[in-house]
Amino acid sequence: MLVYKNAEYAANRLAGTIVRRIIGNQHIPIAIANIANSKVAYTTLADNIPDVCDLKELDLDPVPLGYINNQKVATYWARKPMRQDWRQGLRAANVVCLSHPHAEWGGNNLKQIAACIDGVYPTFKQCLGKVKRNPEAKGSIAFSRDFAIDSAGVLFYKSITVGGIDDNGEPDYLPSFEWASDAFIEAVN
Amino acid sequence: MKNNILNTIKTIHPTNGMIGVEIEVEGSKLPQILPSWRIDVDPSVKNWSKHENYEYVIPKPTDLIGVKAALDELELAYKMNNSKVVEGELCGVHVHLNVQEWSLKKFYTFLICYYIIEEVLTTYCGPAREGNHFCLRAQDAEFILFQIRKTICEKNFKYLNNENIRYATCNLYSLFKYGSLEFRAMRSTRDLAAIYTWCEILTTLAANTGKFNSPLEAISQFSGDGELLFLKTLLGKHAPLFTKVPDLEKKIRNGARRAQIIAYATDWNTYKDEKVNPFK
Repeated sequence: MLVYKNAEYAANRLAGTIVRRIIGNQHIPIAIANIANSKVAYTTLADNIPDVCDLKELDLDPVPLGYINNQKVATYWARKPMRQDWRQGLRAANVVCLSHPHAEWGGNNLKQIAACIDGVYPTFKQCLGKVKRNPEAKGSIAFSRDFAIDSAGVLFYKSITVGGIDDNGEPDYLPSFEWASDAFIEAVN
Repeated sequence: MKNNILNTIKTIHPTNGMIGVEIEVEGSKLPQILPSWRIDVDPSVKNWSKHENYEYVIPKPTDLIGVKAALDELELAYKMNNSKVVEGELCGVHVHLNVQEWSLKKFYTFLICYYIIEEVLTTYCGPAREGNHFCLRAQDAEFILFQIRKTICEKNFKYLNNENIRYATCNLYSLFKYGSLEFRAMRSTRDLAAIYTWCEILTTLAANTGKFNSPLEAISQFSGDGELLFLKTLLGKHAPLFTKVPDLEKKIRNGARRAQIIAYATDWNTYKDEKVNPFK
């Protein structure tokens, strides 16, 4: 695992970005404010609680991304391996929304971003129930990092339209997207 | 006209030789004159390093014999100088594979095979390189797969002509400057034999992906053979270096899942099939 030993270098690569803090078996998403003398000042992403930890307690692996459930729409995000942003952590400059090109990163969605990083999603059945209950409300909801459905019953895999959900709640793939079925089965189980 | 990389990306200057190597080094008493190497100062290292630092570059693409000779020369110079090399997060080894003569189908087949085993391959490069922002894997920065998918779907390489995909383990932006794929993941190390082995692994992978006629054939063979046999098919004698990687099969399965969005991006029969020696 990547470890930074030089606090000044770490501050340059991590301040203002999202990584995770290791506490026991948990890897908790945090937004780093600053680093000095190997101490890290941060706030938790899910609860916005400020705290301090040691530099060596950080998990510097890039945080996993995918669908983020916002209020009405599920948006699909990926990191860019870009040269002009020399940050180890995630921030607005090195992330892109692949499903909605004009979507804005962060803002009031930090709790939802934390849920994505943690892999916490409603179940497929819950999502299906929600869109069926209110088919007029145009929107979408993700039931895993990789899959979302919208109110019209369209099934999305990593921002790509791969088919729909039939009246029995089963996926009905477009002819050239049947390959997504294994991933779907894994996502719903 | 051949349907290859050279004829697709018009900015490339035709170049012979199959492989190039750049080694960023931090340390002390480092060699400053070497006939087989161009020696540069890398600003990305210089600004943060507390040690001497240089980048040793093989000035023209060569073959594995040429790489071995250059590394032997560097090894001798290290010994003569009593050089100390510091392994850290700042320095890496970049290996360029010349793909100018590769057909497009060969090129995409290679990429799919590479992304299937990328996570496993990167374990060879050292723990400080896994997830390092200088060389992000597709699982860390998935954007690159979507750019490749767009390139395939729209048959337009402009999506790869982009600095935003440069700091990946496999840098495709290098296609536009050198006609090469740049592999950035290897750690800088005093163990030059490990660097040579990394070069061999990459060239073996490139040669063995030629066993498949299309990306789809590669991913179908993966499905039929399973993870271990597929790894052996791709890496040959180097496969045992990876068989003890923790969660090996899961990592390869996840890689195959990620590679699907490029493997199934098009009907590969629309790409002209032709036999091209990738190292011509």
